[in-house]
Amino acid sequence: MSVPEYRVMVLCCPGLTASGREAARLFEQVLTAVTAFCPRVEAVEPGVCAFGARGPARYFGGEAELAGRIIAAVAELGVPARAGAGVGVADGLFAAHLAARAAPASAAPASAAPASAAPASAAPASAAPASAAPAAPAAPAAPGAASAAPAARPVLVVPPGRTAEFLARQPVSVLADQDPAGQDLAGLLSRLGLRTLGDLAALSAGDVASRFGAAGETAHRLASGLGSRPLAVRPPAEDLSVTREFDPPEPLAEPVVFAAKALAERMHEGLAARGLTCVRVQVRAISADGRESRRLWRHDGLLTAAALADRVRWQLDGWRVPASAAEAGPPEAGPPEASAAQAGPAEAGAGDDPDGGIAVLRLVPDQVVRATGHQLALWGETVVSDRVARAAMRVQAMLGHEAVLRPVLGGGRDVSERVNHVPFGEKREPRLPASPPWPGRIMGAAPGVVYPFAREADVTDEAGAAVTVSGRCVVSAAPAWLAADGEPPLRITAWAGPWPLSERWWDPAAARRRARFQLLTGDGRAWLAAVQDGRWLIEAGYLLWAGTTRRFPGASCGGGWPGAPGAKRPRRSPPRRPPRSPPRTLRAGRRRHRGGQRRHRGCRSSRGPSCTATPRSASSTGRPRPASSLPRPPGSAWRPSRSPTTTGCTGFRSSRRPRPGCATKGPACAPCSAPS
Amino acid sequence: MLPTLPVLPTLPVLPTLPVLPTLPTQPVLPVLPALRELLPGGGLARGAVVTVAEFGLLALALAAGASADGAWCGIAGVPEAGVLAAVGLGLDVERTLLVPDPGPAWAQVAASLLDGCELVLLRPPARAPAQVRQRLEATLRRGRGVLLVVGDWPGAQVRLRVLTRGWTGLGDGHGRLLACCAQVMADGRGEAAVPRTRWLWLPAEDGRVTAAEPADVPVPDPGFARHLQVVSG
Repeated sequence: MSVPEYRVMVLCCPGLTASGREAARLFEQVLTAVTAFCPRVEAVEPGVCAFGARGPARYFGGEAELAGRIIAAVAELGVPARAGAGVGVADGLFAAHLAARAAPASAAPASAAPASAAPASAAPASAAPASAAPAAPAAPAAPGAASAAPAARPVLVVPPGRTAEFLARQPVSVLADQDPAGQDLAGLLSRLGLRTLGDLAALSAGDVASRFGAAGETAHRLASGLGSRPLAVRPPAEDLSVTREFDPPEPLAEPVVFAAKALAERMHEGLAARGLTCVRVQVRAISADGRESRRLWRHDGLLTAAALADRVRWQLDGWRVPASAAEAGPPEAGPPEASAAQAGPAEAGAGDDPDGGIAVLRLVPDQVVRATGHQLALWGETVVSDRVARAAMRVQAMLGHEAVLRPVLGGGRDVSERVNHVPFGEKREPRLPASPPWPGRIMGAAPGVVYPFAREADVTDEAGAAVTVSGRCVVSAAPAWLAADGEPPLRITAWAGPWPLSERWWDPAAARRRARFQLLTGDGRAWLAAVQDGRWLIEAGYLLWAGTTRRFPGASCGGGWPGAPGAKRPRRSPPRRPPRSPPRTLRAGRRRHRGGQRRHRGCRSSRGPSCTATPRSASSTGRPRPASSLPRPPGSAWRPSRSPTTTGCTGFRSSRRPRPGCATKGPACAPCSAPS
Repeated sequence: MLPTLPVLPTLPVLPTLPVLPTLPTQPVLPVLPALRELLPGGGLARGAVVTVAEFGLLALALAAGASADGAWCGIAGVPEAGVLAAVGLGLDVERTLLVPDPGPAWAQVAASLLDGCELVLLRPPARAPAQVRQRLEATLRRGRGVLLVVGDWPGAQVRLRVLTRGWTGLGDGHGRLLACCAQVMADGRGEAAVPRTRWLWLPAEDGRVTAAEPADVPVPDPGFARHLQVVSG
């Protein structure tokens, strides 16, 4: 009883007590805000922090004033769970914690009845002792020895020396929060008729100790306002970042890079002196006009100062690339926004040439960890040499982190599924494990050309009708013509299939049914095509393809279940120029002017005039030669090109081609995807 | 007193070690054995530009040979590269970098990749101006790498293209693609000025690249061309 407890202020945010990353992140923000008032803060439990109140209170002009400022600072953070946040000040951590939890309840009557709260706060010392207060547990603050802040803030200040009185009114159930032993004890005490801590404190310490043991003795001390443990404050986080300001701003990259080397050395020294290293380092460059380029570089404790300076150089180069590329390229090829989006060197705020030079360069170590060294595996690890890593990171600096990929072989049934791409510098793990057997794969040589997004195509039979596959996997007719989008139709000289595949039927989002075909066209090229949702998709080419690729997101990577609401035609790429003629005219003219007129395969009346196909760009490397113009090999009888066997149908009849997606219209063209 | 130590026999003086000749840097990047005859020097000459007319298995096969030998390989501007087929030919995915979309700064990307990789497979999105080409070629000579261009590149040392090809194994509704016999022609400048033409299995039935003979090319099943026809009676 002789040792006075020191003043402790506790901030309690009940909304942040949940465990979880989001709550922890918000609470970290709260802690940072509190650190602005008092650097040494203990995070008692999730959502609760405590710190010594004596010094800050004197500085800020009183405990109530300090508490009010902290509440305001937390409110400014925009923490959604700030409702119910309370501050309590008392002698000792235990009492302060209780006060903080009671503070929001005390604020409510204060705001509802300011007249009654004002005298209590004005003359707290002269208030009646706690034992005299009626209905003490219900309203612990208003009549007691505590004072609510004037502005109805959820603040409860227990005046110095009155902590025992404050505690005496608390129910014994508060002991249950202390530890498991306290939980048993609280139940036992209440059954014995000791309802409040005051009842417990009124007992003799020796009697309590002999009856309830060590737990009882601790509880008795707490109830008497003694024995709170001292705060275990965490030291404030040291600022390990290094900054260099350039005044006047530096327009050239070289001096900045030179300064970056010295900065990196300083940062490494600071880290090494504490036995630390960083996983990543953030380089921030702020130009004179206020724009900022931020980028995280992988460090792992492996980068030297010179290597870090290189990263700064690449980052600055990348910041300047879009402008220079736009100048170098043709005007229509490199509009500023397009090149900026492609080369997007950093996060928000970057993308243009930093005018006026670099004003501030800052290196911030990210994810600081203890330096434990780096050990390579003895065998089986391909070491990425510095040279390669430098080249890859340089490209990443220009185009972004996701631009440089390393392939990883995994499992799956499709060729596109079996190769995963992982950005350089990240852990290389396949999406699907390679080890389980994957029945249903297409056997034989893998195709040399695998489209990242499957290309749409039309496959028709001799009569010009679209070839469909029924639910029982029966082909409607032998495929005779293949027309990949934007290409003239090609004669199919040989084909095999359908090879059905029904994957992941238990997951509606990933389920798909498809029938695969191998097609060989008259020009000697071989294709891997599939029918899915009633439409033909070209997934891969076996030898080459000289055309441009059109992108159909989702076409090759798990379409929807047939008939599902999501199973619809993917959106076409935006039109680059208007169609030359209205769709209907175009469609009619298609039969007459085969080969003469460029056909917009996307222009079908079913999709309206607003939907136009993108014409093949002039930069494509040329169409493949027709097979007839190639020199035939000496023994060239081995692949005779089949002449049409029917007499009437030699052309590509577009008029009889059904609309794609009409597969559900009749039994004749039931798609493979129709449920069997 | 210490016992007298036995006198050790004097060791014979080792003859002077033969001076090992210092290994010169390999002047060429190795390629798959079947492709050696197509290229002057039996490989891809370092510092040279080699073009392949169209992207396909031939370009991947050229890269795969070097990769199998331990070279790092960068593939830029080819988002549809069939990595699986290349792995079948010998490409090491551990030593492969892909830049699917280099964008308008493709020349800088290629130059950066050439700093790290010995072989860069590049498909320029647009025709390269002479100035850009010269700058890239200078980088190439300095780094002793090989630039494998898909498309046209004036001044390339070697130009390769597939003249004709034919697949085996696929029938009329049956079978599956087994192998492809292709006739590949190489020409170019200097040593490669004389056009060379070879028949290759690209790929062979086991997925690799082997030499073929025109006579080896199997005659297709004669029944293939026959069709069932409805006959009267």
